[in-house]
Amino acid sequence: MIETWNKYKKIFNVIALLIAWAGLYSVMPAIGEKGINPSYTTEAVIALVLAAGFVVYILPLLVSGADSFRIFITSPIFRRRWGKFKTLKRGYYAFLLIIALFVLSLFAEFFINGNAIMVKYQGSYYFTLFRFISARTFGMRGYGNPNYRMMKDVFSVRNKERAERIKAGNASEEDLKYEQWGDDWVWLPIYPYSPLESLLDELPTRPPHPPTWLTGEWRKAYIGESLYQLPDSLPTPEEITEKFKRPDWVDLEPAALYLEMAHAGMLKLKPEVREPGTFQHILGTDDRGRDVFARMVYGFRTSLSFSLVVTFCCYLIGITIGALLGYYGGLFDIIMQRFVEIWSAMPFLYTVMIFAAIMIPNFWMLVVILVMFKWMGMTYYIRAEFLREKSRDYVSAARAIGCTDGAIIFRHILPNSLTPVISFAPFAVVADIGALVSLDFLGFGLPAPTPSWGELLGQGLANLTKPWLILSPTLAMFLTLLLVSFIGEAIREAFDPKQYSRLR
Amino acid sequence: MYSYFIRRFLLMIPTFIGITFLCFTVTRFVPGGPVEQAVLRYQQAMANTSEGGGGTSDSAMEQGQISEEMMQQLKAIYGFDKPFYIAYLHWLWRVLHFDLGTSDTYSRPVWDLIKEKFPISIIFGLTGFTLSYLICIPLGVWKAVKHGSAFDTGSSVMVFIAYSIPGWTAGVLLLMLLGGNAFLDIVPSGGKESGYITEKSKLSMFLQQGALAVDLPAEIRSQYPKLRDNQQISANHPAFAHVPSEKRFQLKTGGHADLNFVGRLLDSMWHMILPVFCYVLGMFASKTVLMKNSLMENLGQDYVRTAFAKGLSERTVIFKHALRNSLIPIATGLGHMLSIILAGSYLIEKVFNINGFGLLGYESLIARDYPVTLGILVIGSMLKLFGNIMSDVLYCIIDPRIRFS
Repeated sequence: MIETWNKYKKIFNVIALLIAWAGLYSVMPAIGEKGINPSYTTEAVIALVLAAGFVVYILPLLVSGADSFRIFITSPIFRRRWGKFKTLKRGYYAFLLIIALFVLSLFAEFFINGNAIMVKYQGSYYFTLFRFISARTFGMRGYGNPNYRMMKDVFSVRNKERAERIKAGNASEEDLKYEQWGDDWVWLPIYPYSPLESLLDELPTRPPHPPTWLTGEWRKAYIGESLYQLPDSLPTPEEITEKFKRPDWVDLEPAALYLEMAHAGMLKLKPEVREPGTFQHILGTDDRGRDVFARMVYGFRTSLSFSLVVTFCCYLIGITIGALLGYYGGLFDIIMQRFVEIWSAMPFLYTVMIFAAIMIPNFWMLVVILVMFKWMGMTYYIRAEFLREKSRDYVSAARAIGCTDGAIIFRHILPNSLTPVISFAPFAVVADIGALVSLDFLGFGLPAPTPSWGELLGQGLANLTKPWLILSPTLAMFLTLLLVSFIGEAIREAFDPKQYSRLR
Repeated sequence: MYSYFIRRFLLMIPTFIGITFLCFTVTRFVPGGPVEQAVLRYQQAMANTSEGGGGTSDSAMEQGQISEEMMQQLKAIYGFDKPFYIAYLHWLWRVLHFDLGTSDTYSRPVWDLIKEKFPISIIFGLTGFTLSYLICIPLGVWKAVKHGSAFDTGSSVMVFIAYSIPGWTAGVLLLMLLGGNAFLDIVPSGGKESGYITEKSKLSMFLQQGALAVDLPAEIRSQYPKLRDNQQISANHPAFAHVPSEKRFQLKTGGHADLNFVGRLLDSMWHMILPVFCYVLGMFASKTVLMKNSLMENLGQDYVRTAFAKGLSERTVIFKHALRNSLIPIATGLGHMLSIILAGSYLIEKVFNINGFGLLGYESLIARDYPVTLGILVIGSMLKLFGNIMSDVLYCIIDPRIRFS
């Protein structure tokens, strides 16, 4: 791996420079909007300088680090421990399940999305999943993003009407063209609702809407907004006892009687009310009428990617600094240790809250803020590992045959000191998910429309009578954290086994 | 040894300066600070008055524009007229004299606000903290003694569950389930005491005698101008003693202050159940596992073998020899008690709407009330720094083998 890299170093560096430049430049306008950064040229130059710095100073570190990680995971001792991990069924299956769910959630757009995957209209095919196509293109009203669910219904009605016209022999010119084109169709994802899409126009009652299979809750909402068609006259006592077979309803006031009848499903909704299907919104909608299930799935993706990125960055910084401290020691070690000590004395949650509240961060800024106050944890372990490994014979041997410091660090010591990294990672992921959910709950997390569990919990706290707003995020978070901690437990047992011996 | 602690104390100074300087600078350089907000409020007020038809002659005033002079005055009010490092030094100087400034939203000294809210958080947090020790230590010990048994496995399930559900999340869930909102109604839905006790409530049996404010003698009445004529006062009110005995009556309804001592205690305890449960849940998993592992480790040591070999009973070996040593890591955690409590309070107090330190910090951030924010940061970081030293001191006291250098 490292040999391939060295062989094509120049090409790879240029590619990395371009990617980093483009990436940094695309992040920059976010700063520019706030008036710190005046012009695009300046932005491009700053991005180029930063990208060059990245390629010269950080990229070699990353590549060598990745190579040490490769040495670490291909070593026989890792293989043996991994074999042990595989035998711990609970942790191993939790690991497979989380990986599968995460990979699946990366493709969530294909399963849970208000945009259609593909549309056939007048003989042409449109791939609509990631593209904005005006509603007008498909012969619908308006210039915005079309409502593909409605379009599917409209298309099927039009198709049917056209078939009838052709059958009756009074086909128009367009109808004849359709003979060649074939029928129009819309290919919707399995769960055709987006996490950001407000469904206020499509659902009859006010949000938050209950899960659609909770018929009783819906009926309550229908009564609350008088969407029922009341009969012309009150049912007579005889009708109630004989037709409805509910003698206990006879003495009820009219309002209470209608309530009971609505609950029993005996009343009809007004004709203009469109009732949702039983499994249309399986977890209901939130207080802005957005589908909760879609938000949960996208929230899972956001939480997990966020925590993985934060853990990765924290470990990158922690390992680098810990390795430098442990390997070089001396004055640098003393000063830096004091600094780490000072930095860890910050009240973590409140400092992060201050930064997040004042800066109103996006995803990457929030990552930076969290990493800024969390990277210290790993330095202690790596520093201790380096201090221990440095005095081993194989390091002296490596030095005797003339290895450089870089080679000793990356090829010899680092692969031997990565065990704590592996065994702490799952618990760090749990902590990061918790931190993100807490920040989102307090309203200092990801910006407003981003689907997130914490934001949903915050809504739940404001609507305590709507259990689906609380149960869904709590359960989702509980199950995710449980799976991750199963993994953590199994990894700890496989990688850091403590054999407790007892006399009796 | 002493030099170690002196060094630690000296190290507190740069730490404190570093933390506060960082946060002070952030509050300075990010838009949307108090000056901008004041300008916005002023402009909105001006827009409202001009809509109301008040024909002001000054066109600049009408548009809600702010003159340079006014801007300077505003900046001076909020202390933004000086460069940030000078302002920081001024702020630091005042902090050293225990003056944390005046809150922008409450118009009260920050120090008074904190003194008022801090005990509330401490009562909730300390109860939770103590309870968690009382539960986790015996549980951890029992799990270690019965390692591998059905009890150990069963309680491990509980530990996993507690680890996977953050305390405050469980709080939201329980508030929904038990707080009388969607399912059961057995605990109050937040706050630290009942606002209004109806006749139906069981607490009404603890209501005291009371009287109407109108029955107070006139000269006493004038001392309490805030009382309305038909307002009830209870026996806890200082003016109650002056009410003639024939005018007194048994209260039927009332608030927390109208209860007698037992009633107030019960009411407060009733409100503490869920928040305290959340604090305990937050600390449960880590503490139980720490206790168990620590005892397990000690039980494998040679001195335990020796103790067994010389014929001591299992009870003596575990409780007199091993347990004492394995309590060391648990006991040092006591040093961090206050900072752990405060970290939990930001979320738990928000969930249960308890008007304490955490909620004050949260609301000051929402309102961009920087003096309060920085004041809370000062107290929080001081407690954390002292906590670090405290746990080292505890370590030394408990474990004489430890020598810091």
